[in-house]
Amino acid sequence: MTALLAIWWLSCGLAVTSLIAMGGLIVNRARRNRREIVEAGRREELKKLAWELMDRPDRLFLLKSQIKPNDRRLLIQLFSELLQKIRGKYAERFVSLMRILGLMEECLQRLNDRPWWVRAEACTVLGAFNDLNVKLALYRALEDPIMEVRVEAARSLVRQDAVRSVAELVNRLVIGESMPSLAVIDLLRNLSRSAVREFLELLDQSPKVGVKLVAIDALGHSGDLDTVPALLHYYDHPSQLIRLAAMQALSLLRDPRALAAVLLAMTDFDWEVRAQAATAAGEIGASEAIPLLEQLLEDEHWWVRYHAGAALHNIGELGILALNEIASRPSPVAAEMAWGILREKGLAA
Amino acid sequence: MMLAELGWRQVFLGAVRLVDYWVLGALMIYAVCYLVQMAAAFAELRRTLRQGKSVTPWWLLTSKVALPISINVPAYNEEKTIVESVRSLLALHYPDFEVIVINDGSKDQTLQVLQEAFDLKPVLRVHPLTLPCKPLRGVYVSVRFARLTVVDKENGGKSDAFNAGLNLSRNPLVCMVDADSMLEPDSLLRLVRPFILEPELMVAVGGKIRVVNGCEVRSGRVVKAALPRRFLHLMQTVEYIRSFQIARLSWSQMRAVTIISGAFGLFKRSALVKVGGYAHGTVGEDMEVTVRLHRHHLEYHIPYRVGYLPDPVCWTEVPSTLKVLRAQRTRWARGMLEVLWRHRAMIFSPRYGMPGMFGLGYFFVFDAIGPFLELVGWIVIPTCWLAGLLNTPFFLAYMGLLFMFGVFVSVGSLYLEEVTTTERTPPKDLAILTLCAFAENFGYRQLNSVWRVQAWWQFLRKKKSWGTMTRAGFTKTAAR
Repeated sequence: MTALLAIWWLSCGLAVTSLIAMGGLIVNRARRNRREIVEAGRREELKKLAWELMDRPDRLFLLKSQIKPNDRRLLIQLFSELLQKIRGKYAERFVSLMRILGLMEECLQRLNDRPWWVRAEACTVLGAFNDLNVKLALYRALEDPIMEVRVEAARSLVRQDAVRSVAELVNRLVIGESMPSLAVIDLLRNLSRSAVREFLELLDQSPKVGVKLVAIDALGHSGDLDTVPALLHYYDHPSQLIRLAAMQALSLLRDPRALAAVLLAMTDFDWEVRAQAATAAGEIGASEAIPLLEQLLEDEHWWVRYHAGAALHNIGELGILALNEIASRPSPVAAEMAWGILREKGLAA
Repeated sequence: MMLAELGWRQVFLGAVRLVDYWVLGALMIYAVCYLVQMAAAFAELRRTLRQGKSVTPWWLLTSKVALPISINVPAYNEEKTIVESVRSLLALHYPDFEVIVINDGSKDQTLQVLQEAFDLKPVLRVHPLTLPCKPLRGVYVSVRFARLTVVDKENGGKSDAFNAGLNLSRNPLVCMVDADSMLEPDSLLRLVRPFILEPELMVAVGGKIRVVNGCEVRSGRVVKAALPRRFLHLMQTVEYIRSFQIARLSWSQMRAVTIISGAFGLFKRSALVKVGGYAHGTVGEDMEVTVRLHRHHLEYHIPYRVGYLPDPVCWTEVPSTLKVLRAQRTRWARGMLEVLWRHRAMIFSPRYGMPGMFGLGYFFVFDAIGPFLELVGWIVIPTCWLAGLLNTPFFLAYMGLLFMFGVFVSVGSLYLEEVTTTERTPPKDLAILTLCAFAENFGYRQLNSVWRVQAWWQFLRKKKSWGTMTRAGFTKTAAR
């Protein structure tokens, strides 16, 4: 057979193979669809039973007698979804129900499964069990090679208020010099209120930009004004990302002690830092910032001008007076923005 | 002297044989590329669908990390579909978003129907004029829906409308949506995923476009997904899977996505502004802006990422007649040629990495040069075989690569799509799609190649018009 005929036969072979594979898929899909319909029905039955048991725990024998071998997987999926959505008394009842059904042990076993999403799901569910074995297993899961599993394990530990060391957690979740995923940021924010001191140490000691960024963000979201003096050290940091994060954190904390640093940041060479500093000045509500904010209304960057105008409005009566005065000035750039802000806020016709 | 000795007949035969072998060689290269593309698409499908398990829509809805999004909808003469489209957008599941409809100087009642349906009142909204666009005639907000803003401006084309929308957007992410598209309720929650996972790197993500014809639509939402009944719609359904879904997934795997569809794409606003927004004077504005994003980041050595996701779904109405389909396809191909010409320095240039080498290289070889080769092959090879100038094995090899391998690519793409999907597609629909995937290689694909050649002619004549796309509106969709 020549090479040319080989091409013909190979092409025909591939075409026929793809058609046969598709035929197989169609048959398989028919089976899968049927199985999924049955599973969905069973899930609904189990959900109904579980909710019934919430109000009548004495009827637990009813659920136990009806559980089939395949139901355990469905129950873990069901509880994994429900536990994200319910809180308080019902959540506690669900957890005790899961304990009785032996699902906690099942989840602990699943932490060793090969597919990472099964391990991640197990970590999520385990977050509901306040148990020493669970905590130890979740610490081990922090070493998992897959980031998604580590994040779920960390979330569960935060939920249980069982984080041993913030530095260890951050080292497991923040890799490299850039901002980590917002999922990591979110869980560190949730941790921040209870671990201010540790975040302050981390900010002070870690040389990594990525770690400093998450620490500054967490401290800003902690709402603890004792963090302000530490954050003030970063308004003139060489990294633009850190200067910006510091201004964002100070905007959230709204502490007048930050005013001097904010005023200096309003002259930063980076426009994003200037815009954020203007916002911080508005949030602090300090009338001392008005002259600099007026200057920023002449900034070359539109967003800096806009944030300066909005900040003047946020400051209150004196800021609005300044906006009115600027709106009548000859400088077209500043006047246009001041007038626009006043009109947008319904303060000018 | 030599030529005279050989004889003109032999020279002619030699030249014809050279062309024949050239066409066959090109088809073989295409076949290898398709195989690589399918393997890459499969890997990407698995990766993205698994990634979806880590950032769930529920978590995004309840946590406070979902980045605010401005949805920009340019509308030109869309009175039939605009109200339903906007209703569907306002009903999206996402914690923080606004919808900005840009009426691009419509000649019909687009603005009036919006005013009536959503109770609009004029407002002043401070905005930069960073990106060039035609003057605004007014900005309106809805009294009943706080998330809705309507901008009325002079006609300037789709790019101009997008730029106006970008100027007015205040959120860090902007979602570009066609007025004739409908998004799945959780599509934003899915599309935003890469921006959550890589907040600094990600600059643009595209989502999957599906054919709405045949589906049951109620109140701007697809309540029952179904296959279209018309043959032409079915062909386009298969084509959307093979040509768009699988190709874009493979580029995403190779970090070479060079087109984020204007029908549904999510961008970092600051990145779009930095590259100067959408370009005027091209009908391929979506591809052009994506290529420019690549070019900017690569030239300035800024780390970035452009991707494609297979699970956020946007439904779109496809043409119902060959005439409209031809107009749409020639416009798309013309837009692609315009982009290739504008960014010709990037094609196969190692300086532009994967987007230049593979992304634009693919378009150049497959979509710009490919149709000519196909056309030459259809005429020369069968003629030579009938004239006895080519042996049968050669002819069979050509037919095998042209049709049989085409069947493999079409059916294989469908297989890949279906084997990884979590949707419950009825087996009957799968069987119909398989038949269509087989059938599209015997006429429909060839027709597309002819239209691409016609697009060359339009491109050379510098034709800039969009043509007309007639729409029936979504509510009638199920009946068709």
